[in-house]
Amino acid sequence: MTIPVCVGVEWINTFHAGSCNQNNLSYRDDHAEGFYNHMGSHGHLKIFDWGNDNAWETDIRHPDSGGDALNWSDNVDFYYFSDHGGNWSSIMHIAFAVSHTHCLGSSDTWKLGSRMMKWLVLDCCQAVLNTNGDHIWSVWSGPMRGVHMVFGFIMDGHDSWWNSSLGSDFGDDAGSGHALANCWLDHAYSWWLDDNPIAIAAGATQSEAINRREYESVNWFSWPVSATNWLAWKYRT
Amino acid sequence: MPEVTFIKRLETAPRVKTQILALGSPGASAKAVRELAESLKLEAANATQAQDATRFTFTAGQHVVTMFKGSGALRYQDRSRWQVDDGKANLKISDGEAEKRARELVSAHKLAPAREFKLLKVSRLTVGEASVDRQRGGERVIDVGVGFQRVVGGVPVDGPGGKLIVYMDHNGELTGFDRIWRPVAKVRAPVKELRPPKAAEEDLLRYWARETGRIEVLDMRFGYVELGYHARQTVLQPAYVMPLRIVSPGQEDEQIAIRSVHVFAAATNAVGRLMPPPKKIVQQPPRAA
Repeated sequence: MTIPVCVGVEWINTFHAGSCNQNNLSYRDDHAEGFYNHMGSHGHLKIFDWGNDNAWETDIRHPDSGGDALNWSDNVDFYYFSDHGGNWSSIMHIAFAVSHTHCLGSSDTWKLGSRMMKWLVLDCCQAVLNTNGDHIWSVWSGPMRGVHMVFGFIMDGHDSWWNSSLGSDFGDDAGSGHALANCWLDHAYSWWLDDNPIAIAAGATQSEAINRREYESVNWFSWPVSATNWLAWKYRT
Repeated sequence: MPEVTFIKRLETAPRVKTQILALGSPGASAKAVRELAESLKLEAANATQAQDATRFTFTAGQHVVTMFKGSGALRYQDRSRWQVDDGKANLKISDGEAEKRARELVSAHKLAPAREFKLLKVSRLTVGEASVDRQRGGERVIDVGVGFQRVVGGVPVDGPGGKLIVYMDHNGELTGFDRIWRPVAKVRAPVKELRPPKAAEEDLLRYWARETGRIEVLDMRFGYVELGYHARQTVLQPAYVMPLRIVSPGQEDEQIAIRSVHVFAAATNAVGRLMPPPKKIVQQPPRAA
């Protein structure tokens, strides 16, 4: 048995000509809604599912930077975002199909976990560009403000029918109470597509961050991260 | 139309004998998963068995054996050790040594005949830490995974299936394995002739014509294509497999890209299409501001 947690997902497959244009994607709905529905099938609470033009950049931007995160991404425990991503100047960027109010979300405007978010999946490219500790720290120590763990990819990921069950597989294992980092690394690593996932855990101390990295499940939702003094990560390459 | 660049291409069809093979039933059942657990010498006294829509599982303490209904794929994990950091492990093993040890484990557990696979790649699971005052906990490799690729009649099997993956801890002991390996039932038809690689390139251009930006075709491989854990598949047939990198329009130093793969059935008498048709656009009702 697991303790029910609140889940929100956003995804984008379809972009438009104009200032927010990106190449279209095909399987982001399968990933995000697969996660959403399979978490739901394990008794977790499905709070919101915004796709394409309904996914807004303000949903993840903190109010200190003019956003509305506290009512959306940071108003659920588990937020899964599936789309395009890019990383430059040690800042993670995510692309939106409409400018509400920016085309690109920028991690220097995020304060993840400042209200409710415990776990963030960035199912898109380039959560980090490499596995250098300084780089991982410089990208993620700032945005992680109470969030327990962030899950993403080293460099590019794939949008393909060969990995379209990633979200549902991860949702099944995460939703049934398995250790989250292992679930992500298991399903996001691809022997056939060369996707390299990473899981990053925060903690006030080194041992807390390591403990979360190794053992944290959705059942740990009521053990807050009091300070992001340490990050502990785990990746497969 | 996107700008398409073929970085690595095949000039001519490979001169290899291939066939269109009928795959057998996945054979997944509660009995089959129990028998596999017995062959692994797992303690059955306190074991439990369960199933859901996609899989059968056998659980004996920390040992979990899974059989997927769609494919018959097998998975074993010792959940007390698989991908778990004991706080000390720091695995230093060459790819060659890891492959040798993995082959020993494959043989010991009779997972596949040695002549039916080749090394795909060796992966490593790494842990690390860093702190606000720039302390570093250091990085350690805590497991090694060795992936083998199925070979049928000398032709490699591409795609999510046809894979045998062995995970080992720092002592070289087995912590888990995956086997996606559908049984071949019979030859459905010989391949009369292979289409030229140019036909695969033309198919790719048609399929991705709606895109903008730039598509880099990173490679063109030839092999059979086997699908993943959940898919039901009745035919194994040769194909051209093209990994892609799709780069969105944008500034050079702030580019957004993603990767994908295009697959084209290679036989002139191919059974159906391999690549699913482009998905229909799903639009939700407009969200209230």
